[in-house]
Amino acid sequence: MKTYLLLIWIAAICLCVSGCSNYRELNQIGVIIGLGIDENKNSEEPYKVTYQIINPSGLSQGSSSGGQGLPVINYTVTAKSLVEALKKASVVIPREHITSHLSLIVVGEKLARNGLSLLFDALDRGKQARTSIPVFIARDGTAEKLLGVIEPFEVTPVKSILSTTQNNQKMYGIVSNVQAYEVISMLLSEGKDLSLPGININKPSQQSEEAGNLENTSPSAMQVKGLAMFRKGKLVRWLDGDEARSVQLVTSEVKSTALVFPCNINENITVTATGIKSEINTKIRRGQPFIHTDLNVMGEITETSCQKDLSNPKVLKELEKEVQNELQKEITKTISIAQKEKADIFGFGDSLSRTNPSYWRQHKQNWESLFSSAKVSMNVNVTIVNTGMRTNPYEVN
Amino acid sequence: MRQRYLLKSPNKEKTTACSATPLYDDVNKNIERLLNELGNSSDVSFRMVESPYQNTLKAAVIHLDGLADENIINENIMTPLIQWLKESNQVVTVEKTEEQIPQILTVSQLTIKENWHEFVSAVLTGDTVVLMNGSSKIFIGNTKKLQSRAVTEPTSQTVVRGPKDSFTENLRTNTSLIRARIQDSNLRLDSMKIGSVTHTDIGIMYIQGNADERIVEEIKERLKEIKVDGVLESNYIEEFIRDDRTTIFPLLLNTERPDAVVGNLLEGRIAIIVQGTPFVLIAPAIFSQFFQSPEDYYQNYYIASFLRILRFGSFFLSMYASAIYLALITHHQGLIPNTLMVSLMAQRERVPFPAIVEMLVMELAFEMLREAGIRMPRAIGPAVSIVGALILGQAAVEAGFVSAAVVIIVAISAISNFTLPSTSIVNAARGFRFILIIVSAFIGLYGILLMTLCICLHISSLRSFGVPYFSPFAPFDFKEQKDTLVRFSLPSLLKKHQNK
Amino acid sequence: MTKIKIDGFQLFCMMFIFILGSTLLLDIGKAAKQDAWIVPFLATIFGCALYLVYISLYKRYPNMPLTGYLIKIWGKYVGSAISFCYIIYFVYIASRVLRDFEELLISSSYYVTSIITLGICMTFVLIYSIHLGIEAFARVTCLCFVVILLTLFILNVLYVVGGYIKVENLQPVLANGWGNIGKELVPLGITVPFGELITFTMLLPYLNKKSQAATIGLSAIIIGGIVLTINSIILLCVLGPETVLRSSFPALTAVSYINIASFIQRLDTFILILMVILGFVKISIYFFCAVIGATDLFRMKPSVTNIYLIGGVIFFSSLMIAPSYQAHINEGLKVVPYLLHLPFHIAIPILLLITAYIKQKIKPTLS
Repeated sequence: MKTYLLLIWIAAICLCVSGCSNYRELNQIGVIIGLGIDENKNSEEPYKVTYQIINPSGLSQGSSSGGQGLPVINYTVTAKSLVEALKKASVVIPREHITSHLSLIVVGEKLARNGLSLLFDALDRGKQARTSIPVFIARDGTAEKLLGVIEPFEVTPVKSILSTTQNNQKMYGIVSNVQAYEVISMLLSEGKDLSLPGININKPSQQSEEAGNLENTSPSAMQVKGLAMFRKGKLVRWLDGDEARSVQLVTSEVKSTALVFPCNINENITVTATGIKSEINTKIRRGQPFIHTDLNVMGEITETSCQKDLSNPKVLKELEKEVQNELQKEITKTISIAQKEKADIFGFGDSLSRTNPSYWRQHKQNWESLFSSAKVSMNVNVTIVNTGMRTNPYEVN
Repeated sequence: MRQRYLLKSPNKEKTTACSATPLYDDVNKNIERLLNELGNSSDVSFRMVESPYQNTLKAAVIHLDGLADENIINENIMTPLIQWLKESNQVVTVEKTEEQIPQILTVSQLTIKENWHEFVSAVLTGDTVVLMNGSSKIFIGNTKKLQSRAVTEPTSQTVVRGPKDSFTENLRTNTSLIRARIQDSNLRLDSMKIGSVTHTDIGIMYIQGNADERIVEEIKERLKEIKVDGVLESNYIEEFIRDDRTTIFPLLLNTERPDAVVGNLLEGRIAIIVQGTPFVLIAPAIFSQFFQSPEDYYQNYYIASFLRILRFGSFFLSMYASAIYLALITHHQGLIPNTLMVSLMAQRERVPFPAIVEMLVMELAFEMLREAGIRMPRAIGPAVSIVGALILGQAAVEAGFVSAAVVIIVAISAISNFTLPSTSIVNAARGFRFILIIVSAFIGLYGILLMTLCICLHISSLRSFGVPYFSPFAPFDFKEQKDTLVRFSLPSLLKKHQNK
Repeated sequence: MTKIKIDGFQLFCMMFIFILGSTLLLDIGKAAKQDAWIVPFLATIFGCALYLVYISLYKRYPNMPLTGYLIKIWGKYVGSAISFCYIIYFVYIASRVLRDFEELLISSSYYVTSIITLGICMTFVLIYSIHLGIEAFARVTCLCFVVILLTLFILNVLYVVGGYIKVENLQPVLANGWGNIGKELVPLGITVPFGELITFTMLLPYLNKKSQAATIGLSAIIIGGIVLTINSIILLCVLGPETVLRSSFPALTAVSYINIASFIQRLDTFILILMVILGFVKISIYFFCAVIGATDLFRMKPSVTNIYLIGGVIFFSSLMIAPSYQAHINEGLKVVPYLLHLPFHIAIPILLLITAYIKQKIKPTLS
């Protein structure tokens, strides 16, 4: 009996020794869901960091005592480093803030132009936040302003950025979500350069940061605009529209998109691509790298404004050829832009490191110049599987 | 119930000294002495009958009113006795009467004894004793009739499909229910009396050849060593004879259903029946048995397997639901998914208490409700359940005392408690639930994991009469797995018992 | 001692979980980059060979633990001295593993709690398990085996379903040649985790069916090795070789990537469960060996006081052996393998076997 009493006593002591040190009530913590990093003019404190914190009372709609305020609150501090900013933010944030629910990072354009370098080291090394969160670039503006836009659709601005970009990737394919660990591995790698999605506000106004935005039928909203091209961690150029999409086509990140090409003067046919797969082949011929891309697209005709006999397979074959040509032109244009900027955002170097490792080991230091003078060939294969619910368009008489 | 019944009784030596005392020759003296010993209890009734021809030929018929069956006394003892006394017109010696009486009394069981102790205990158990004047022999006729309940539906372990009779408080009824189901000559019934004041009948039933002889001997040994004043319920026996006296886990199964007992007997276990309670003990018992309900064998085996897995799952849920919830919202907020986090934060915003206090208060309130539900008179039952639901649920959440999530979690853990067929294991789960809640409030998930390891270690070290408690999981027996987590079809399960 | 018996299956579970140990979470052979999966694969083969040495020693003295037949083979003084060294070695490694797990816990979830608390709680559970004896512990390891298999299976299925496996991370195979692999293999790959099976030479006397020792051991080693190799492959595919090299806790990093349908996310709990179970089993086995060795060498009965004392020593030394996590890792990679593992795991058993063999040869010629 005595040993059992002793055991209980010791167990009680050992529980008390722990002192509930890790015990935090939910209403004592401030949950940070979004992080915005901007450049600060002050060289002593080069970072201006914005934290977006959930406001729980703004979320509890429907309970009797009602909620007050908006669902999120932003706090901005300036600091020498990111971790210092986190600690410094305690001067304004009323609760103990934790980063375990951090869902996205927005980097201001100016900071990106200066170079990302080891910006993500704090995230990589930290214990709380995860590295599987997407990173965006705030185009023509600051991350601070961007994180302040409250849209009526989604509960928090962070959620609206995430769902807008995911929606875009699914339906149009200009950009794709890049997660922080992929950013780090692209910055590490000698064979692939970074490309990040850019977002901005489509109708910048004073009201976009206020509840007034919620009561507008055409509010200011988050907009996906362009793909940022990086070279050695510094932003060099923006790609827009079709150019950006070509990058995603080559790296096989597009799920579905609309390809428009002219069939007559001022008349277009739209093909919705449903299955897109691309393969990159690299080889070394006579000491020079040769890059070849195979692109397979499966699509259906979803809109046309010219009268063509779409029930005829031969006509479809001609249309396929035209789409192929269009695509080839677009992609070649984008690749030559990338070659001019000496930024291999497609990952051809990575592919080369796998197919010819010894050549890669010798020449990886000057892959930039090799890439800009490399020969790129392309093979696009388009298959139009059906024409929707109708075969021929209705004739206008 | 006073504490006295649980102490070792000191008067056991006194009664043994009386056992050898013989009776007097004179009937009147015997009766006087009996009435003295029983303190002139008003339910001792006796009748003196005399022969009209010989006035030394007297007989006394003594029984306890209420315990003895009046009909049998009237028809099988009084009628033939009086008839014989009327007809004996010759002088008969004492020896002749001692010879004749067994042929006159037409009861089905007649024993002849000569000592005082047997006389008193026979009267006290409801038998009728016939005393002859001049003889020191007593004739004990079996007229026991105990007022007891009829065989009804079991109150604690009900099934949808299956037999709906349950044991009663009468030992003989219970043994008869088992005998009716096992009509085999190998079914053994050994009896003993335990309790120096109550002299409670205990019956041990087992199937010779199926049951392990060593365990039967062991059980009998342990039963003989029990020294108490009285045995009121089978739990008294259970706490004395089980292997490990300090554990919260039940080491013997108790059941109210005859079909469950019969099933266990066929598998080679031993049943201990106690007079005065419908709950029969089954030894040895292992952990997986407490999750088996006899209904598993009366339904389709797919459904039965699903329900068994559900029961195991709900056992763990009832222990861990509250503790894991508490650990997640206080120590490991990083483990809660994003969307859930937002809604939990909104709920906890206005609650003034710390999460651990909230959780403990809700759990204790539920336990109180449960106890109240057992003892409440039926008339106000519905009113209290409405009060409970309203107060504990709706109003508390609306007033902001507790958050809705806590109410849901406590309700889930309580409901999953009720799915288990055996109350003894349910009590173990309840006890551990509170310990786990406290541990999780201190150290979170790490504490819960370590406590789980401790519980598993504890369970693995238990033995029920030598059989490891955690088999067939721990000493892993592949063949036994057919009937633990899932139930294979009966033809494949019962094949091994065919050649007995 | 001979009254307690362990089943064959329980022995298998114990060895399997022991082999998985901390290597499952920390991934040995990281420096070989994308060929890191070859290291556990080759180490398994070495492990089998090493185990055969232990088994042949066991076959000669089936009822004595290592400390027993050390004395028998090498005489009283040398044998007891080396037995004593083994006991100290077991206590030291137990405290190393305890420190390992405390550090892992702190770096993953418990960043505010002090290391002392985590250590004390684990130590109490360990003392309770030793107190209940090896039978109860062996039964619990059967349960833990099932839990570990389930967890690993679920995690790997989630990796595959979520599309996180990028096979090109494994290419190009053997681009850097065998040099790196060789450097990883000797001395670290052979000794951890397969060399640590020396502890089972203390536990094998409890086995009830003596003839099964070889088959059970070899199957546990082979299956354990395969699981480690698969784990290594998956970590490399998910994270990429550079991240694996840079992380102090690759398994946790890999699990943090899983995000399926925005609902199945934040599965760190699984890793926590794995950690606690693996740590508990490994430290328990070392603790058992120390207690068995002490009671065998000093002819004592395993009383509660002894267990508490050895447990206390393990706990305190786990705090004192290294000032920081990096120093601890460094010691474990650079100092311990050469100084401790190689002699105790490989050199001494082989010398023992040779001595026993020579003695056997000499004896018939003498008599």
